[in-house]
Amino acid sequence: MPQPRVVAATLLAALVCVPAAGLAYVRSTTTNTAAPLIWMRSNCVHVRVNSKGSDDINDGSDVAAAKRSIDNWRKLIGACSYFKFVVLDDSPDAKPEFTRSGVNENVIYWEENDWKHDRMAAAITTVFFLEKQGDERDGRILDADIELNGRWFHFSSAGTIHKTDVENTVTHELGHLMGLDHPCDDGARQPVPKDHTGATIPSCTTVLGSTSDPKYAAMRDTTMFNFADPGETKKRSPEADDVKGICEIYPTAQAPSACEPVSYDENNGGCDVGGSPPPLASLLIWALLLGLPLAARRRSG
Amino acid sequence: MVLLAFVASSSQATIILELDLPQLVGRSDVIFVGKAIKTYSHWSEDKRHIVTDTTFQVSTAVSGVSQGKSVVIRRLGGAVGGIGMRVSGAPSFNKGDEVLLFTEKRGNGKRYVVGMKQGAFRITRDRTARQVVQTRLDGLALARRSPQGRLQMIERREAGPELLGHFVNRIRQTIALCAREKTRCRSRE
Repeated sequence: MPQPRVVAATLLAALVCVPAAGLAYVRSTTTNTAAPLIWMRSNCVHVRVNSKGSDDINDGSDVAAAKRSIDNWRKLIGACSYFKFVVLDDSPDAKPEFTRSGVNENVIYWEENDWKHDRMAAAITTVFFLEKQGDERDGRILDADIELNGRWFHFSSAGTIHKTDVENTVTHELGHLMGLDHPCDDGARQPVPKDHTGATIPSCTTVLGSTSDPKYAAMRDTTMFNFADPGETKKRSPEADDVKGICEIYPTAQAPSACEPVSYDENNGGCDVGGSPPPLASLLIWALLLGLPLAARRRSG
Repeated sequence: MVLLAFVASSSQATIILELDLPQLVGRSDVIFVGKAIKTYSHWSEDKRHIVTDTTFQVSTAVSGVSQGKSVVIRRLGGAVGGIGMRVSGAPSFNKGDEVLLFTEKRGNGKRYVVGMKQGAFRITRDRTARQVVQTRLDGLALARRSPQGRLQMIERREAGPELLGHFVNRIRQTIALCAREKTRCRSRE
């Protein structure tokens, strides 16, 4: 008799790893070259939450809810994707910005005063990427920041009706951070995007208006769906379509060995290297190539 | 049918409150039908974002501008020198696009589409070559603030293409309404 935990793990793996008919996801693309956006050459992405959180929540549950959003993805994609979130220590100094020379930090940040975007937007994810026609790195994500509009919106960490739920919102935004786009056409994107099968996505009007088609009902339940109710919490848990997207973009079998933040140097022809000190494995390889000086020194000592 | 409330978008992704037609009018100081004749992407003045300025030639002036004039609209996102930036929910325009735009000037002196994609209506031709606007978002129910400031669900209206001339007339009637009842055209945030 299998242990319950094993059964659960097996079921989870079956849910997320076996191709299921009808599942669809849409990838975000570059502006002009239409290359899909993707984190490259690292098996992880570093994220830092601004510790000030939201002015609407004073018990720290806002920052905790943002971190739960990360866990919501982790527990579902872990069985089939190499993509890992590395959560850095909270900091009051974490701000959404992009540097063209150095390591970029991906942050989750509440802007309470100086909201520079349209005031009707509750949250915005800004993604910077390489856009170079014909370059193998075309579409490589360099930085992604999530900004929540504390200036004009009220946030809740408890799914309070009439307020914007932090966990629901951030889980959705993290999908964008990883490279996913919305599954239906809301008129903002030209040309109208295609899903991962190459099919043009349906209009949101059709998806919202259909009460009988199970395909559209499933789409409405996804975390990456374009719309949400006030106080909605169902986007907290990614659905099979969402998970399939991440697991096919970042499949376990193609895992890079390194876990490093992205560093970008515009003055060096856009060449990039890992921003952190080289991992022990790399040092050992270099030591071997250089004639094992580390080992030799140890022996002679 | 009672429906959904936020729009989440372009990379972005964005969650936006609905603006109905009077609120779109109330927030806009320049409304026009025009054709995109030039786009130019560059780093913003504060060097934080990539922005794209699109120049439109006004073919039908609805409010705050004259026919034949040029209007430059800024949006977040674009590509410069091998780097791209994308924000979900910001409408993008290509050279040659024909649109009806509700626009406002922000604190930085630049002009933007109101309510992200809500203030942009693409113009296409129907089967008899008449100009129609795709009022998809106009037909979606989104979130709205109650007088007490709470978010509430609202009923969904049917969506569909509308003749451009009809829509422009509706906007002009709404401008007249707003002149009489200013509070009706104020967006509640």
